[in-house]
Amino acid sequence: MGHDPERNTLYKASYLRVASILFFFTVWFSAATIVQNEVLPGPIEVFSFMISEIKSGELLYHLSLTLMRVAAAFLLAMLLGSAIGIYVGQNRIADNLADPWIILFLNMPALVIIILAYVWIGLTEVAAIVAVSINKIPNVIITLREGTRALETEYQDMAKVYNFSRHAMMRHVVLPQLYPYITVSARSGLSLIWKIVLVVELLGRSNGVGFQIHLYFQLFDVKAILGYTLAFVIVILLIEFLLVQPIEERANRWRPKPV
Amino acid sequence: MKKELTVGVQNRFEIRIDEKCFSSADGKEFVAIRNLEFEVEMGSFTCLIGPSGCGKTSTLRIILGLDKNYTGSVNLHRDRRLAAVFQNPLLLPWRTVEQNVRLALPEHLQNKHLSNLFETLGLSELRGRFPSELSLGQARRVALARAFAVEPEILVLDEAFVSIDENTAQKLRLLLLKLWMNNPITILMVTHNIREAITLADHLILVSPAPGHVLGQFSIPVPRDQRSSEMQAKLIADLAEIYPGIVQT
Repeated sequence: MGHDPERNTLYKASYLRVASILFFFTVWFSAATIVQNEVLPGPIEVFSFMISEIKSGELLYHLSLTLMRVAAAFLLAMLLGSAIGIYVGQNRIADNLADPWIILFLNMPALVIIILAYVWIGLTEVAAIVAVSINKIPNVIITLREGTRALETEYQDMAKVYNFSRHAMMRHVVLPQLYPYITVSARSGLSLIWKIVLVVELLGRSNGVGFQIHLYFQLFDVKAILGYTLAFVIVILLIEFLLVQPIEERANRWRPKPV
Repeated sequence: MKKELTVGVQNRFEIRIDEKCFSSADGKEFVAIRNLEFEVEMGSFTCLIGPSGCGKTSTLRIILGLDKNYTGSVNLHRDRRLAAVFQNPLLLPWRTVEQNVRLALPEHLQNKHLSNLFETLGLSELRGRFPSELSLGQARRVALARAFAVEPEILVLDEAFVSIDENTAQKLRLLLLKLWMNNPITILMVTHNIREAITLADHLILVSPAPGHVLGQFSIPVPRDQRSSEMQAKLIADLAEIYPGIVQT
């Protein structure tokens, strides 16, 4: 019951995480020292490259553009995908109509969607974001559809007896039940989207992390490629630990805590 | 097929279910209710008693408007405020006790003070708890609090006192009576427990095994506080003689 054991496990967990990260850097450092080749620069070289890029403002410029695209595509995919998923989860006819298309888009190679978006819409920001969203939407749909099918109808019956408004029904009865499905698709969504955003930038944008990596690939500068990758990984980790996990914890307050 | 008659001022409502069918997974049709017909006086405490599977819960779902797939009619005004306590308390697990009660409140009662109600039901200390932190008996009390908080005209109870120990169940029954004495709304309760029905109700309706229909109706003329245990035992014995399949001593 007390706070101490809980705190201890928390400390232990963060120690383990830090240790695991330190281990990674040690391995990297040792490998780079042994190989002694431009193809595998060590962490010190990569970090000093990152610092010089931060000083020149290049890194933050490209990083923020990529992040903006990730955020836009993520929001679009989550909103559209959830709405469609919830709808087809409740409506058998719509589900049958939509199912072949969901399967088609689920299996359509990302590259094809990106190229077609650029060809049809043009080499624009809209095309880039639409292309990334279309890659993610089918995943959100099938996850939310599953969640909607698993809704406990008894709670909805209770809400109907007590005349809940549509809004209250959604906010207090339906969405809390869908929450685990939403977080699962948000998690996997974020990782998928950031991978695809880089490809989109490589193929048709003149800025962003993907564009920079493409540029340094042509210059065969591995140190720069790793520097940009690492910068983005750090941002993703921060988002995960400072945003996603605290939100999740708050939303799960009501669940009985394991002793 | 179905008529929803609406009457301005009612002092009773009628339920007539010509047929209610269920189809099982293998496609067979099963008739749960056939020609079930009864009236409920407004302000009365009526009990539906019958064996399991006789369509009692289906009847309640039809009255609550949750099941429209039947033939017959319920002439209950749509605007009537209803409340229900189900066998499963159906509290939203992700909302606290107080939020669960408040969410059910109609707009004009949104700012209602719930302290007295929580006090009566012994829930004052539990207002901030989540349902997973409650016992089944406590959760049932919250479900009762929610039902009375909305100040309903008709309260429907579906086996609301099963699966808890007799002591707790008896306490809950007394709480229900106390709330009802303060605010004598129309109560329609479903139970298979004849003793419970005789303690609480003033009108009993006995339902046959499936396909369910009304076998008989019976009013208890004695006020609740004068129903001695001998009187109850005699009543049960009498009923058991007339309806041997339904009432067991």
